[in-house]
Amino acid sequence: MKTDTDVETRDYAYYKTTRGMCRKCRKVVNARIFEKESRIFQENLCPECGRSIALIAEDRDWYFRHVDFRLQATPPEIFQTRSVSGCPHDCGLCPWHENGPHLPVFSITNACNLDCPICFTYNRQDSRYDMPVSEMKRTIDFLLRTRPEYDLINITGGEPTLHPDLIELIKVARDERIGRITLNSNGIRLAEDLSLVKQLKELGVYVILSFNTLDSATSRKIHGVDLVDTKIRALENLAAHGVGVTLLNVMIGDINDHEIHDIIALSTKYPNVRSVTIQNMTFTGQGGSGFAPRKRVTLDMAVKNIETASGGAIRREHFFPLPSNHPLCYSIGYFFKMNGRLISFTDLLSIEEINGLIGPHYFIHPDDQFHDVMRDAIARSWADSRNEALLQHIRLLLKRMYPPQALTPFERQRIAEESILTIYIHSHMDEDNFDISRIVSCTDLVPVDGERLIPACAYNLFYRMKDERFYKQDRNE
Amino acid sequence: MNRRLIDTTRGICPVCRTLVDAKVYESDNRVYLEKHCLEHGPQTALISSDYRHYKRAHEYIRPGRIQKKHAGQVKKGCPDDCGLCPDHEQHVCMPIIEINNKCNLNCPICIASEADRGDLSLDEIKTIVSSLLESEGQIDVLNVSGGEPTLHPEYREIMRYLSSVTEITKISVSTNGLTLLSSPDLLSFHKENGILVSLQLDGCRGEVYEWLRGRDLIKEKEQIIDLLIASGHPFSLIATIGKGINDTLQDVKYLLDLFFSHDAIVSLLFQPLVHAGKLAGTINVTDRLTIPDVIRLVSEASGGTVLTDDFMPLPCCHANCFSLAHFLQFEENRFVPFKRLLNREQYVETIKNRSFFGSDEASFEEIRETIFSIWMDAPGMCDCMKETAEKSLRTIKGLIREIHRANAGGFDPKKTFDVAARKIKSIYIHHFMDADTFDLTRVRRCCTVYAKPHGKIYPLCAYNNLYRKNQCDF
Repeated sequence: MKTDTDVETRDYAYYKTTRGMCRKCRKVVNARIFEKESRIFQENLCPECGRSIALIAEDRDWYFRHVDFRLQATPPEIFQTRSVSGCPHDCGLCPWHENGPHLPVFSITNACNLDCPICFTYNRQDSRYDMPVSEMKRTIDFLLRTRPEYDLINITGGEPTLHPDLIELIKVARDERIGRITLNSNGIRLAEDLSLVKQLKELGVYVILSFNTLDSATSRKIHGVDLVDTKIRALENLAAHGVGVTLLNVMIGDINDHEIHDIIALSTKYPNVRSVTIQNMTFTGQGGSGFAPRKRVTLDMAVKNIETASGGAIRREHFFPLPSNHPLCYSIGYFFKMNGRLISFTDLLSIEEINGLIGPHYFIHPDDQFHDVMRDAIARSWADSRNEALLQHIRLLLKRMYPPQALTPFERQRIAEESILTIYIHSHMDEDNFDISRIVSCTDLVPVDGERLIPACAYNLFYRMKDERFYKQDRNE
Repeated sequence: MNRRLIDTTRGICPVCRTLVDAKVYESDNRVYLEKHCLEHGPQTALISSDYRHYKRAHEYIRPGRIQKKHAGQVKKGCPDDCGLCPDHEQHVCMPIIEINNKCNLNCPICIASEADRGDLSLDEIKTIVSSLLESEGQIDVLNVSGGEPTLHPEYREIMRYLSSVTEITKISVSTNGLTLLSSPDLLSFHKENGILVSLQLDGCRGEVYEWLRGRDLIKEKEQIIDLLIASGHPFSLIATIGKGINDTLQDVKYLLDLFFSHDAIVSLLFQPLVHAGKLAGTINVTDRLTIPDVIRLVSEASGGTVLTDDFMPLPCCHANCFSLAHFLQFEENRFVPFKRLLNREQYVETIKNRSFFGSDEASFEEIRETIFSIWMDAPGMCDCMKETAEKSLRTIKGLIREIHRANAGGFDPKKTFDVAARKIKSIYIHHFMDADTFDLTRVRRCCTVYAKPHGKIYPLCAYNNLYRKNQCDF
């Protein structure tokens, strides 16, 4: 007699097929997404080189709750290239791309004063590249022809503060149609050079300060040197001049994931810290591709780590995908800063309401809708006396944001962000979890040659190694 | 247009059949597949008329089964390694053997015609069966198809042989039924050999047949049904259903009335029209019938017997390929959908890796346990439902007794099936893919396959769109 048990059951449940890449031959290949032991994995199936498996989500319920997304995209109005070779080899943007540029990322130099073991990108030290001012000008013009305005642009490197014409580049990039300019930095120069900090304040630049640990030994593992004091000094300097700061934390499994709440807590101590961005460790680039332990922190694990590290003060329900991006790329949480505490927007508003406020943007735009939704939330919550102090806090904030004389949304933004902390969790992709569906949705784009835009992870995985400014071809040969 | 990306996958270009990148997006609650062939440009096709129905697919994912032996090897990657290769995500639930190409109709919608396919010999069929059994061990249903299989000169020898294979629970034959009129003794032949006739029946209006089958077949179909009913041997109905052709309440009501009023009809299968064969490229691909449309239509035409919620995807294949509703007859002409008796999780568990139940004892025990526990734990259950549940329990108990009796000399899935078939009816909706809607995510989990004489087997939609000669010579 034959029974069901004669045929073996798989130890996983297949969910779907996507396109991933092979870490050996770097070709785009079929990949299966599957559930096993309540976790979600991606297995890349290279017909020539074999398989590789990456963890995509630790919690299948989280994955299925969020992966059922409908992208709130802003399709590009102009395309720079045609679709001739197939995604991701036509960047870009080609007409297959599904989303508009929101966040252009400029690598203005290949110089760096560190050689971090976690560096997820390539920067060649043998042949110096500094972006000419003329190219910045050309690229900004190009960007504004592509899209009428930008929430923000990001300047990075290498270490961008080493660029000899940094201030000139920033001046050229300033435009009333660009909401803000953010500048990545490791903080070494900002810890020493007060005049630079002052200039950044005058130019209205926000600094994205890499801030991974408060522990010296950990700092040496991450950066190769102990930078804890340097980072604090840089933060003090930026605070003293009121420069808006985003703390950028690379969350690395078993290295610094337990420290995340201490980093977030800096935002209540330093009022100029507007946001914390957590990038879970990406195993790419000159450092990252060989970094050990190769312990992947997925987006949902990052959220859980925050919950654990904060003793439950910040909870996983406070985070939700950024509606304009793929849910595996960005999660976001909004918090009111009140008397040294962080109170989630979700205490007052539903996620649908918050998503409605964010719309297709990178962050909430304080327009009239924001005012109305907040007033409604205050009216609704009035009966709940526990919230009284919070409601009073928000009322005062709204009063300042919406004075009798009309302010622009960008001006209101600057008022609001003193009282609000945004926590972004931003996942980049590496060879193992590369997924075409994330690339076609991407809004973080690298302008190249002042005429093309390349999604950041496509750039990191497929294009930067062809870019002689940042990669020496015979590096691995 | 308010379009929102849901996912990406791989599709095929309807012009050159090359595998291409595809995006799945929602617009106005409808789901579309958008492709871009680097040579032939963009194409968009409707794949589901209901986003909520479509996105529920993940609720039904379950571990697949592994074949004991694979006739294909992983070499080039899906879908070029059929098959099945070890990367295929499911075993075989229903193999189809196309035993000939000859037909007494010339349907404009035919997907199976293959000019250079001759009549398979009995030896070739034996080879196919032995390789199927090597890879599967046990087969629930094996379907014989064609052409019109009953025209095969050795039809009866083949069917006798297949019915004698103990590892196959049920043999079904897909037929337009015309041979039953010219050779009425086929009816007793099928009955004697326990063969399930799957009769093509598309509606009750002549023009439906003119459109789908090339000529008005109403008279013949009515005679065939009368014969089948009179014989009392179980049979099933298969309706191809197309937008603007037979998606009418009149046609669907006719099929449902027939189905529910005759004990001999065990299942009714709707196949939304695919755009293959002569139809390819002639129909509006953005406005077509999809599974949710058929569910709505069936519910409306049933006059309350069937609700849209009574259906659920078959987790065995991909959830967006197949939907079904099983009904238990608890008294004369009264049916209750299993989905109203069982909780969803139990139901999914019962049917997770097979396209029908009734071939194993354990599933009935499970069903009995579940209905019993729901009945016990539901003091709030309204009286009419309570009564239905009680009667259903009695029916199931009776079924289990009969199954035990039939299996007194050792468990026999064939006998079990025959007992169950009298009390359980199924409505299936199986949406095949054409070059417009082909989705690699779905094909990788397919469990309905064509088994070929050289020992290989192919997921149905992979074969029809990528391997079948005539259809795929470009």
